[in-house]
Amino acid sequence: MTIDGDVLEIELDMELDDVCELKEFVATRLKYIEEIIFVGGDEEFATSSLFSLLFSIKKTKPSIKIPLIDEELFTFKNFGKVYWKT
Amino acid sequence: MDINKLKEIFVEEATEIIEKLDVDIINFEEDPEDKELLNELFRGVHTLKGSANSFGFSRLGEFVHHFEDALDYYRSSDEQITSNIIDVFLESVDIIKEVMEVEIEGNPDLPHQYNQCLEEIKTLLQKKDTQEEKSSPTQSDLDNEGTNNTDEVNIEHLKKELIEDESLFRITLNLDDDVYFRGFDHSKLFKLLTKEGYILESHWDMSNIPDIKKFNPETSYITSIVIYFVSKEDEASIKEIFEYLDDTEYIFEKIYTSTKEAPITIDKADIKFGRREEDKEATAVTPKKGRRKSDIHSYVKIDTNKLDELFDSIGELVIAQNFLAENKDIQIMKNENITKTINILSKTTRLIQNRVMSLRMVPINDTFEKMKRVVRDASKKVNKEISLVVEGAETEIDKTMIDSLSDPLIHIIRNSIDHGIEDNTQDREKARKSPIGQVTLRAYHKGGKIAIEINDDGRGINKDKVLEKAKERGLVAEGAELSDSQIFGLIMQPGFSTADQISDISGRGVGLDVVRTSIEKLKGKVEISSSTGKGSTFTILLPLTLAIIDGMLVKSENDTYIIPTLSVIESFIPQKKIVHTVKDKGEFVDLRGEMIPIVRLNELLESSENRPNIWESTLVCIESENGKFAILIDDLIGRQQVVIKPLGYTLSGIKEFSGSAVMGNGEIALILNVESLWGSKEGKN
Repeated sequence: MTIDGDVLEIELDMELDDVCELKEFVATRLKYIEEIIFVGGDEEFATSSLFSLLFSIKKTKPSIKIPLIDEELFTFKNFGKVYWKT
Repeated sequence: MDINKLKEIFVEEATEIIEKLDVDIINFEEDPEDKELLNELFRGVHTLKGSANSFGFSRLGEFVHHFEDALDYYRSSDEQITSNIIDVFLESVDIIKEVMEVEIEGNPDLPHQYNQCLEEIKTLLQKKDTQEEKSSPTQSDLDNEGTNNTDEVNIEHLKKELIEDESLFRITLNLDDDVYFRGFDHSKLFKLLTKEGYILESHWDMSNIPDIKKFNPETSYITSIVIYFVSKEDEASIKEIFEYLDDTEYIFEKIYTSTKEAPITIDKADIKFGRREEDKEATAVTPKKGRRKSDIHSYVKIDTNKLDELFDSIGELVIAQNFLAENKDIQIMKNENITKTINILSKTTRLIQNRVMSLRMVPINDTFEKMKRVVRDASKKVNKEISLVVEGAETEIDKTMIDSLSDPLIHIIRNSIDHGIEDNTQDREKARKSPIGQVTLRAYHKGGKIAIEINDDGRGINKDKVLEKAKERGLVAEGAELSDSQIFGLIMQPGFSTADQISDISGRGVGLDVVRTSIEKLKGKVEISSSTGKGSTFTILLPLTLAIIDGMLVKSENDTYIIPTLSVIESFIPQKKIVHTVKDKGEFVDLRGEMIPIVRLNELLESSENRPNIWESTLVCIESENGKFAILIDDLIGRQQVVIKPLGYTLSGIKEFSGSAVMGNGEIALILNVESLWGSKEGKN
């Protein structure tokens, strides 16, 4: 997880502990973050909690850009197409 | 591990869960919208049930099972949880506590309210059954739901993706919100599925995700995931993947099997979405059954005795490090490398010491949380509406003290509610107060101590009544003149009570006496202040820790003493013109306009009768509970962290000393009890 200006870069293979840390990190800095992007592979995800957190972030700050969930469809190399319903 | 050890662990864990149930229920009553708290309660009870049954505590298991059902109903319904339902919940927790005790003791008798409470829970559940009957879907509803799902996804389109002998499955995951806590994750199921075939699509319902304030990463808020999965494996072997899930957590359906032949020219690179790899030797990720707390929390439980041993060892390390730093032979060598290494050692030792020290410190929050229940119960019992305000709950306190703090707090709070707060709202309104009584719990640091205040906005303590009662009982001589604090202090005397009526919760004159004794055992004290018509405040003052202090080393008559640094305001050599002697009052120093009394340490401790000129000596200005004063010493040596060692039998009765410490040079130094220094000087005067 790195922050480059107002863009937060995270990995899809974050474990639950990492997601807990990410939540704490983001919760206090949300107003400074404008975009969250993924770096590294897009084969699979390590915990679904990460997606929930992204949606929670989006709900809290709708203006934030999160390409992975902003589109209705995302495709994993190993897990196929993902459709989000909000 | 033998069964007794396992039982011990169970009792410890179950006690923790039960204590938390109380707190969670009270907090839920305060914020009924917080469904996550209800889920938390449910999970606690669910764990307790499983553990109780596995140890053969069937009576506990049965009771908890019904309680769990009730919680399950309320967490999944929109029904409002009234104060009466909260009462049933709290009563259930009380019964759980009692049943747990009888189970541990192997007592065949159940608590006398067991059956009554069980009936109350069943009554709640009967309501649930009625509700369910009203709202249960018909078969046609279910059929329509199936059709709607089918509409959502173009199954015909998906079928085209299949080749010969491949089947299309629809898997609907409705995992409980404690899925992560149980060691599962949707991702694990996805990975396991890709071992048996490949996933075409998944549809995630993320409509129930809360905002970040309410979001807990360890709770699953995903309503459902519908997965379209393709495999050549038979249904039974795929269903094995879900064997660790509850039957209600997934729906597995076979939709279609293809008879279409595989195209011969298919290029592997074109195959999408994680088709099964050729390497069948790949190790499968197998979920382990049961809760795996360690996956989520990185906490380790440590026996407090081990922590104490570690702390003692660190104390010895500090002494050894100080010895090394002050060793004359090493200092003579003037070797830069050795000096540097000793400095590093000193820093590291201090770091270790601080870290070990922090292991003993815990926020007082948990203790304050428990008091919510005390306030609720006490206010219901005496029929007074009370609001509890908590401040400074993050204040940290030594773990060994926190365990002994609950009982004194309970006593004082009950006392405040029963005697402090006015008996009826009319009396409060007459006194221009809110009809709701307020009890405030506040924790903060004060002059190197922890202060815990329990304040009520009630009628205050009737000084005359207290004095009259004390005289009646011979506690105070006729004609004696007592200060306000001395009068208020009388209510802490054994057997003293001004309550005209003895109530269930206080008024027997044992509570406050027990409070005083318990706090004194912790090397603390209780102060009382009160204002008629405005309320009373009980302040418990406790030392920050019972183990280590940061001390200022001072010299007086060739003896070394330690003054706790947190009590020191400043030290200085005064100019002659600011030193004054007032007849019959003593010596004072005028410190920036404030007249501060001077205590000559050698005279106070009777170590010599020397009276050096004050303007040629060093004064250490101290802030104590009794006010500021300055200690006159010969010299300042330095500042050092010292491990407090108890005084031996001979010295333990001397109130001017609170402990001793071994110095770096191996000498013993006495730690001054600053609270008694000024008090004792006054006493002598």
